Amino acid sequence: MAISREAEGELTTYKAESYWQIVYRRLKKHKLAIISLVLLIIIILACLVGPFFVKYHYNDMESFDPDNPLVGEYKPPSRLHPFGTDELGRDTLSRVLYGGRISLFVGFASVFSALILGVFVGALAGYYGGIADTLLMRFTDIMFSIPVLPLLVVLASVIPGGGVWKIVLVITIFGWMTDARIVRGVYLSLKEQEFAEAARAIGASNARIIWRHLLPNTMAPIIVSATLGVGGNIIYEAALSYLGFGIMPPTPSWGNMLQNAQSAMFNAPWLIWFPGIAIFLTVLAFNFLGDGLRDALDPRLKI
Amino acid sequence: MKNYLIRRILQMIPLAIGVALVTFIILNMVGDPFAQYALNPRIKPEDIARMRHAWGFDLPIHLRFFKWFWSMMTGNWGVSIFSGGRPVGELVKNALGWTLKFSVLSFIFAFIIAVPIGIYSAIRQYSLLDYVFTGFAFFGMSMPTFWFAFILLMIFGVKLGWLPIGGVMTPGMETAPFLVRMLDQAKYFLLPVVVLSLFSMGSWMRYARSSMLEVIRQDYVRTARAKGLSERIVIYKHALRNALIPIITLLGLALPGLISGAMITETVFGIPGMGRLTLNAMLNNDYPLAMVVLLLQSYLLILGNLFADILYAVVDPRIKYT
Repeated sequence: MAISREAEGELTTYKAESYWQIVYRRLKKHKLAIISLVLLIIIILACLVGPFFVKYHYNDMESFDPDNPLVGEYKPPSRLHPFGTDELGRDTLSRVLYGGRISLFVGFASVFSALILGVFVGALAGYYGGIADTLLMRFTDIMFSIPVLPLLVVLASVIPGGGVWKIVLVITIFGWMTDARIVRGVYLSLKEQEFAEAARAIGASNARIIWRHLLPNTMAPIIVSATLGVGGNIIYEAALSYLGFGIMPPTPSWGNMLQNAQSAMFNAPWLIWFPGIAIFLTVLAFNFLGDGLRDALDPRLKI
Repeated sequence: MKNYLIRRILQMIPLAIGVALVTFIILNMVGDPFAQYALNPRIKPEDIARMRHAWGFDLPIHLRFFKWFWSMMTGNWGVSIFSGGRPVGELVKNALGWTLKFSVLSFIFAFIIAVPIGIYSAIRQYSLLDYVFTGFAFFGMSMPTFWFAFILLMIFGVKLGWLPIGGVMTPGMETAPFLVRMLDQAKYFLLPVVVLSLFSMGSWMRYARSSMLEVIRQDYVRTARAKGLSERIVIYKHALRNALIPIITLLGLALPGLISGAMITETVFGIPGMGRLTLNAMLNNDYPLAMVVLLLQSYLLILGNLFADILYAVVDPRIKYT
């Protein structure tokens, strides 16, 4: 007997949503998270594309006039320089946009590399258990017990150079432990379940079970921790730069633009406001988005 | 409980040694603190050698670690290399005095504001005030502390001129009468305390809120409502007391923060506390001092975690450790 058209229509409306469609639908209900996502896209686009459209290069100084060298310094916001100029007469708008590239890159890259390290440690510890688990997790405990900021300062002063990669490396060294614990927890609870057992029964190698069968299950908590981590790492970069160990000038980052800001407090407050607002809005957006994702990805909530 | 305690304390020993080892290795990467003396032609090489000997730097690295770790454990913290040869214990004591004043004040301030607000937000979930408080909590968690400090200094210190822009007291106030001195101190304490409490306020608000939300969903709360108790009794007697259990453990976790100080905030406000001491020790490669302050902070963190776990078991009779 043929299925009537209506029945067919009925069937399509009950088509099962994929997991990510469900997550997206739930995330949409979290208005602040969506606003944050849009804001983040705008900020990222502005930092990527913006430097091509501003009039001044981030290192151009306003005045090269040897008779009157101070003319371009500390100019308050004007039509020419919407965000004013800094102590060397450089355009703050251009520096905020370009510095955003650096700060965002540090945020994303250090989260990504810490994630790789953390997933690796957590997966090995959780899957193999026993002595590997004990050793790796005790090491994680040790790293967790060490005060982060002072040792970030030490590492940043030991490793030569003042580049972006150094900061990424330094933040990574102290950033992988949370991911490792999350991944280990998931692996411990899943490795004895039927689907892992089944994979083992049909002859899948340990490596295949670890990376293909178990890893996707860590996705939800990892996404949340990574989202919150980007914001946290941007703040770490700013703090390191404030203490003088971050990205070295003349390359701007949101952090090192604030490095000399304390002295600008009296005569050039715009130098404090703009990079700070950029950091604050970005981190705030990442925090809201992470919070929204946590709710949307939470399996305990009703679909 | 007793077995659990003994096991936990035994587990802390390798952790403590491991932390000391990792800290020692990282600090050793900085290099020889006496190398900078060799650049000074007025300091004789034999004097440098004598100093290296005095601080144990002529020993091989593993022996140096054991020697140092032993003297650390026996309370013989040694002498700072660069602070005019003052004992490390004395430097730590002075810095700790300042840090404790600020941290205890901001802890109390943050706690008495954050917890009631968090509980309220949970009871009135999705109300307008809940959104406002949630917004405030995220605001606190997303603000780079030093930038927030700049902004406050700019507004209240520079623009309005109401509060000093750094330091801990007006010069000459040490001998003033008690009340005058307290008023003077209050002016210096206000901004740092606000900055220090902002971050913890945000996260504790969220913590208290989710803890209360968790409890409100429990069956026994529904039972309490079902048997006709008034909403007030349900919330304050049945729910609140259970919601406070995880919050109490925050006390344990906050312990290390009280003593380790805040590097950034203390730098911005020019407070001579533990954070500044740590930072300066790092910057000057003042290795005996740096090791002591870092280890102190790590060990307080470990002890704080233990304390939190014990507290949790003490206040929550449902938890049985074996």
